[in-house]
Amino acid sequence: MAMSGFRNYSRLRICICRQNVQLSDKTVSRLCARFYINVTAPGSHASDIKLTSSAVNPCAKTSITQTVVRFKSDSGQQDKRERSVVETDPENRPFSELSTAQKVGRVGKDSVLGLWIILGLGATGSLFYFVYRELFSRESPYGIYEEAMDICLKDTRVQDALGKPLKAHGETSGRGRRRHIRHTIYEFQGYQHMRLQFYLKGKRERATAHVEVRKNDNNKYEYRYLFVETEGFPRRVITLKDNRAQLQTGGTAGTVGMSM
Amino acid sequence: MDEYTREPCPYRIVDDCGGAFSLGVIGGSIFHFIKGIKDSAKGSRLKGGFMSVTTNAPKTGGAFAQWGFTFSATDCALVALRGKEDPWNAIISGGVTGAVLSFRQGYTAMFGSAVIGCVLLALIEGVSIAMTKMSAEQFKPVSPLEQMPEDPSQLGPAPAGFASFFGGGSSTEKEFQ
Repeated sequence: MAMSGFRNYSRLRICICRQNVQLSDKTVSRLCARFYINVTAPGSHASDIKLTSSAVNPCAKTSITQTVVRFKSDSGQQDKRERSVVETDPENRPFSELSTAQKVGRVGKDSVLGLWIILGLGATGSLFYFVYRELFSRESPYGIYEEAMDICLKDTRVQDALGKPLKAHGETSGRGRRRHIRHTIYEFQGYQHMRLQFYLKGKRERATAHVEVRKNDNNKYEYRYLFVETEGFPRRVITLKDNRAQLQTGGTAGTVGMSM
Repeated sequence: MDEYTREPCPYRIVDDCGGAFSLGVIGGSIFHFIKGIKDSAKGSRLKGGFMSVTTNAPKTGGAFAQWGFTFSATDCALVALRGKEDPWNAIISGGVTGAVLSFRQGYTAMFGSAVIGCVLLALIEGVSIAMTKMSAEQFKPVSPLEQMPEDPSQLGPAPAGFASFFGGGSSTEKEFQ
């Protein structure tokens, strides 16, 4: 059995009894020497060892008023009480054996603990929902960023203008993170619009991509425009999507036009 | 604006490693000091607290630094591989870091800590997004008129009607000065 590493003395006793270890006299005496235990009936491993608070190491933090440790007797009969180790501790007793005051205390304690658990679960759940809404669904700034970024990176005109290994990133934060995407959400004529911009970097040149999307009646974002503006001179504008004629909130909507 | 032109990536690994180390040392000192005080016997509590700090805080700092280094290195590798910088990088590299650091505990432990790393980083990303959102909400301009912002002038006039039909309005390319 593991002898080392026990810092909590009551835990050691629980360990012995849970496992129903049959201890030899030598082990018992070694344990007693190590853990300052006085055995009331020394020499017989089948007998109970009674521990009182004075018998426990005075340096130990846990003070136990009285603990009965039973070792399995060689006759092999299994007493139920062999399992219950710390008998004076009301924490470990079944609910039906408690007095009324203790029952009230137990119920109160359990309900407070349960409340904490529910609160924690609720907080975690709402955080997960927020993460889902903001990161994983398409109808979020990051969802649109992922999609628009893919369109830009796959476009041959953008690749030609900037040079082949293309990279996309957002605003640079102070700590070298470039994940944040600058965006504004506004409502106009009952439709929710979102504008966002991100940056592209190729081998030769940098560019800024501008996107605007509008929520349609199915609550899905549709592109109003998506264009890439290079930074070098002369500035070039590569329009990847321009559906302003169709999604003109002003009233010219419905005219003949092409969409991507 | 030098940060705009400089690529953050390879240098960021060192930054993150050091930042994580100091975070671990400071946090670990506080934690282990309190723990040492609590665990010591009466009369030697302060001494026990300091002893606990000197033995354990560097270990905590080292563990944090290990985490920061692996995380940042994976993040940079992902940026280079995918060519994209987005929250997915952080989430994936959180998982990879968890797996790498528990490599010697076997596959089950690797999988478990990979999942924990992913979830943790996703939550951190969520919290940081929420923070930026809240701070952005404060500076939101309140316009008296419900007005649509101007479309960017670089885009030119909106292709209307048949013009887009012939000119291929949805895919134009032009130069101007």
